[in-house]
Amino acid sequence: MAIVRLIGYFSSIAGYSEKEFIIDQPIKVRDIVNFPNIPEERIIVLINEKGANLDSIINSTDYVKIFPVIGGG
Amino acid sequence: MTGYHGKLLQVNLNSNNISDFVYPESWKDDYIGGRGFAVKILWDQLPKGVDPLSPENILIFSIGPLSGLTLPSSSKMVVAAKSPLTGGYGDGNLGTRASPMLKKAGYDGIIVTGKAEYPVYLLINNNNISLEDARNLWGKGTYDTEAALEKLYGKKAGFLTIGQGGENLVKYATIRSQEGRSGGRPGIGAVMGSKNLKAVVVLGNQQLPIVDPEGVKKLGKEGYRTIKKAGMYEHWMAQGTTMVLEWCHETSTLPTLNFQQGQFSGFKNLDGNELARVKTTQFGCPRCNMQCGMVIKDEAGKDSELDYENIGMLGPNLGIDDLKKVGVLNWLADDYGLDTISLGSVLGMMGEASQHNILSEKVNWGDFDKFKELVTRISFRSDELGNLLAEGTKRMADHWGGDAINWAIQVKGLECSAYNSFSIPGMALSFATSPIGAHHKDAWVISYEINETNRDSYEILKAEKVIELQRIRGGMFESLTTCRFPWIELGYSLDNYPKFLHQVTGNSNWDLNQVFKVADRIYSLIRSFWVREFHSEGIEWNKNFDYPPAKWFNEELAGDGPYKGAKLDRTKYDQLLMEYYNLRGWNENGIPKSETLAKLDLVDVDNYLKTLI
Repeated sequence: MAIVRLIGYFSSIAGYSEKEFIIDQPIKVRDIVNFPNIPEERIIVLINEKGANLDSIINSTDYVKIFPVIGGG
Repeated sequence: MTGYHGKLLQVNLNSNNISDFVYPESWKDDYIGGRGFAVKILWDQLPKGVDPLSPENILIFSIGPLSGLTLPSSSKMVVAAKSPLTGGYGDGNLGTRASPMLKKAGYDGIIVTGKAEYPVYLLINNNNISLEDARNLWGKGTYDTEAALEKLYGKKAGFLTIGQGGENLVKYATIRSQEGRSGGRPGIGAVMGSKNLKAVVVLGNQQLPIVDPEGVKKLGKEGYRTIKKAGMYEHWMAQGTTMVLEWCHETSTLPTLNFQQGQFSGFKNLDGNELARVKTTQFGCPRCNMQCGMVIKDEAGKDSELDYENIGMLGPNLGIDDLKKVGVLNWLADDYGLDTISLGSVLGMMGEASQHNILSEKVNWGDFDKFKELVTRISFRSDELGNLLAEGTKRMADHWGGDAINWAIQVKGLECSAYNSFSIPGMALSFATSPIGAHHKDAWVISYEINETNRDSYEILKAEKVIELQRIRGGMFESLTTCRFPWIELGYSLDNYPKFLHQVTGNSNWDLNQVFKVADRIYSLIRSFWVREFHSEGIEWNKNFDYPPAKWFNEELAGDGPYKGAKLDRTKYDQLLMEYYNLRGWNENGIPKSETLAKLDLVDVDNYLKTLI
């Protein structure tokens, strides 16, 4: 079971803040989350706290966090 | 028509003399405006070693060539002086109607020296300038002061005011405007108070000095449209910077219980979703279409305007998990004219000192009523403890001694903004090398650090990124003077700004590289100012002034989360700092080298520094 956690406005767009996914075979991040109106360079993906991207592969026990890029005020 | 008026208004409050300061033509290309003009004036005109709260200090209100024009978020103003909090260069920026009004009144800034015999306010109505009696305003908060002035001069006037914090010389008092805007974290409001200057009112209706007004109008209009079309726009408008709170919690960078922890169990009561749920309206600066001031009805029934920094510092940092209570502390700070970041840090340090049982009077984490009481005692310096807390965390640490240095979350005397950096060395470097003391406005690198680097590494890329952002944010935006938010938050292209500069000034040589050279000149001149002023106190400048707060080396990140136990490594940080100096062309003490100053056309500054070191 992989867990995907969406931070900030990504949870509003997707309608959930955290969800469990059964991963039968390795799958890309972009195959389970989709934010068509947000430029990809504005999306941060961390898998098990390590930097990743939308093409990174999720394995069955991964913890995926997806953040918007912010400028920090 | 060159994009400038070529003069600043010069007001001497000792003699009541009011005159024009006509600056050299070369300043336009060498310093652009805003922060650039401010540091140039302080370097040239401020006698070395002046007490920041004495009449001799120079208070500067400075705008840039893009100030107040109809282009995205252009109504910023820089307020600057030698800082009473740090003893070095101090400035801040705020969005204010005073920015376009000053431009329309025919000035590129205001220079104030001396001290009025009794409280006054400066009234600028085009070229009719006067000093008016402000004795009936002295003692009032910023909201009442602005309301009283608005009755006299109308809603369209630009207002800059101080509250009781500035009057009572609280070392982190700010200057306020338009009921929600604040600027001048390093005590620029106290400098204004020390001059008996309660307010500045600006009215102007002259033509703006723009070479190509049609070009600016067209590009500006496209800019507003581009910002509105950004995919993130509706989300930004819903939450503004308050979305950062959850972001920081999830990355273990939220300042919690005086930066002891990086996550806060009550964060959901304070985050952007909660703010969006309870907000009643939102405000922005003039000329802005991405308003970031989120207003809630606080527990006392006041309209409190919140952003991430004040929620972070007055909420999790004090253990308070109720947005309406945070709103009360924020409203009081705004009314008294105190910087909410430094205030939150001072109160947090008081909380940590209480936790360690070193004080007879204590405050417990989350004790809203006690924190609220302290805000008023600080603002009026009404007793011994309030008086000490009005001095800021560095002086509190000096006074308490022992471990208290680990509870003072500051660099050069200025308190860190709301980003806990035990586990992010790049952001620690940013705080440590910010030109006014710890502040996020010049470079904020956390997205980069967690997304594009090995987060806890000390690789040179991080020093390069800090400098890149300091050039853009601290150099370009602070001198233009426009807001950085359209670029950093909604992706509006940086390439537009040299285009605006060209259209406004007629100078087609402007490109980003030219702007960044100015930024480097500004940074080296600011650093030289620090060296000079510290030398006057008998202190030789050295790398220790560019170190982040002691807590991040001496303690470990506590609480929950994946970065529990993280801390900075002193040896590795030192190497990163040396890389930073090397990239900047500064020596191992953090002082600009002769060849660097020569390249930046600052040979006279180099010659002066050689007499000191």
